Amino acid sequence: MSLRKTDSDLRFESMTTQASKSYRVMLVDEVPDRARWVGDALAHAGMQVAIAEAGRTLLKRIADVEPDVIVIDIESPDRDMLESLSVLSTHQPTPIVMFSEKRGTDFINAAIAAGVTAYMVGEIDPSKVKPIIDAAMAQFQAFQGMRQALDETQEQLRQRRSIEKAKLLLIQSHGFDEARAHQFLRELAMQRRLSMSEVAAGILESAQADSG
Amino acid sequence: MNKTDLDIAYLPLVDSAPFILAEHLGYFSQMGLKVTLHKEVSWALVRDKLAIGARDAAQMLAPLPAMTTLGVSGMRVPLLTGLGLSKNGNGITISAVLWQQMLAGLQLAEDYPASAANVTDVIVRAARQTEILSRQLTFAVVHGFSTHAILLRRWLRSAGVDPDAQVKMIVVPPSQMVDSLSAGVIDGYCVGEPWSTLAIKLGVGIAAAWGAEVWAEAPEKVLCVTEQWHEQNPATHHALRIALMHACGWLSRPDNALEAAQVMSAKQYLDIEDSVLERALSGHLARTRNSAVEQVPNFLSFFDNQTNDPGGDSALQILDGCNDLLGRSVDPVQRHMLARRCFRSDLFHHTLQEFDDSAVDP
Repeated sequence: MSLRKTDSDLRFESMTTQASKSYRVMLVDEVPDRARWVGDALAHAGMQVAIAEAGRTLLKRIADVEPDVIVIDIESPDRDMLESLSVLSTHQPTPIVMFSEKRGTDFINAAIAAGVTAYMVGEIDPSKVKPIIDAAMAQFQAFQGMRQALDETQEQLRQRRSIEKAKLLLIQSHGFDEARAHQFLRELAMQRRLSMSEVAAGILESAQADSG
Repeated sequence: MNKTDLDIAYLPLVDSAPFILAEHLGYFSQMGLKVTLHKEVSWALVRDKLAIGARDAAQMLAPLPAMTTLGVSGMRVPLLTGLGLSKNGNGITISAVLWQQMLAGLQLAEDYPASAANVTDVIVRAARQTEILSRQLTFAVVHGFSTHAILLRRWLRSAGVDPDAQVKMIVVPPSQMVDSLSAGVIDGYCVGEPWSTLAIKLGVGIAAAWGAEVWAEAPEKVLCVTEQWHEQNPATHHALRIALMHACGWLSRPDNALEAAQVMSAKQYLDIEDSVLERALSGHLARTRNSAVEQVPNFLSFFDNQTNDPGGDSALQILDGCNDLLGRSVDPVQRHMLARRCFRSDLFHHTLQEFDDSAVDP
């Protein structure tokens, strides 16, 4: 139920490599004629298409089909469920392409400019859906990469901060100089087969426990 | 003042009362605002419209401004709240089928009374015996990042159930909850009224706990704007908060529940029977189809400092609950920064200072 990066990362990699050839596209549309019309065009463009009903059965269908991309109306009540997939389960986040019947192109353009969900189709026009899905997949992958890089940067910063804090603690409590403190952490890390930041975190925790 | 014509988004729920009543009672116009309320279908859409400026302000789930600022929910856009609009108001329902399964497993009578203490006790005992709760349970909430999800995890743990290992949590729109429960797609859910009461009336579910019994001071809905909009329209934002606080104050008087229910039941707003709304607004609820209606203490509040101040301890509890949902450990620095940036206690206190002087016609 929690978002943990494990084997889903591997699945994501395999997905990105196969994506350019043939996506599994799930169309969620309450207008059956339109769904068939768009579905035929996508199938003709070489995609595997599954048409799904909105509502109660959608979640099960997603689990069965495991689509690479979901196309859905921006005004659908099912959007909160779709966005929560990546939070509540270990599902790979799935890019969502949206279309809008009611809204004009201004809305869509503004949404794209704001980075809303970068994957918007206006009125569904079958001949245009394929390139938009291509673009959406590319953007989605770029976004995922960016987010991951950002998470990693934040993690690195956090680790560096705890190392610095632990050094400071050693300097204050043991009268070490900076180089000695650094060496101390390194040796401890090697002895215990831990990373320096893990050792630092341990030192800080026990210091906190002592003072508290 | 900066901008005076405002478009505001809300979802048709019992706790959207402050928006609807502020409009009905003329509090917006008394603050010099011309407000158009827009009924929306999902929190994702509300957020999208805020982000692109199609809406000026919106009702929002308390965890969402921070989670959207962080970028873990759909998209990254800096949002903030300077006013809490409601506290509590949720119920945890379990299916009648699951209840009977547990009773049978524990060799208790079919009509074993479903009081709050008994329900928790039965689940605690059933959870310990794998032959009774042999399968993974499925529970639904209305959004991945909601007070409901945090509340449900707290309750499951209090009943000795591991929310990660023993339960699968899914998101279902409120209007599909009862249907999913009776179809056996889910074993229970946590949602606002009237969706617990509807399942109870039909006999397909029983109340396992009311929200306030699990978490006494749970922030529920907040007034949300983008950080950018706030910076451009600080005076408008301030006036909007005062108008909504007056509506919250009006709603806190028990005598007004009936009128509020009547106004909200209109087709343009909730389109739900007013007697049902009145019970939810006043916290008069029954735990099972056969049990008497009782007054649930503190069921839903609109007006007191704990409710209207979006910051403080409850904001930290929301952030910790979200980290728990994400399976992340809490970085104390990020926690502190996010609390200060998104849950703006300072804006609330600014509002409070002028609120008392800004008399409005009742």
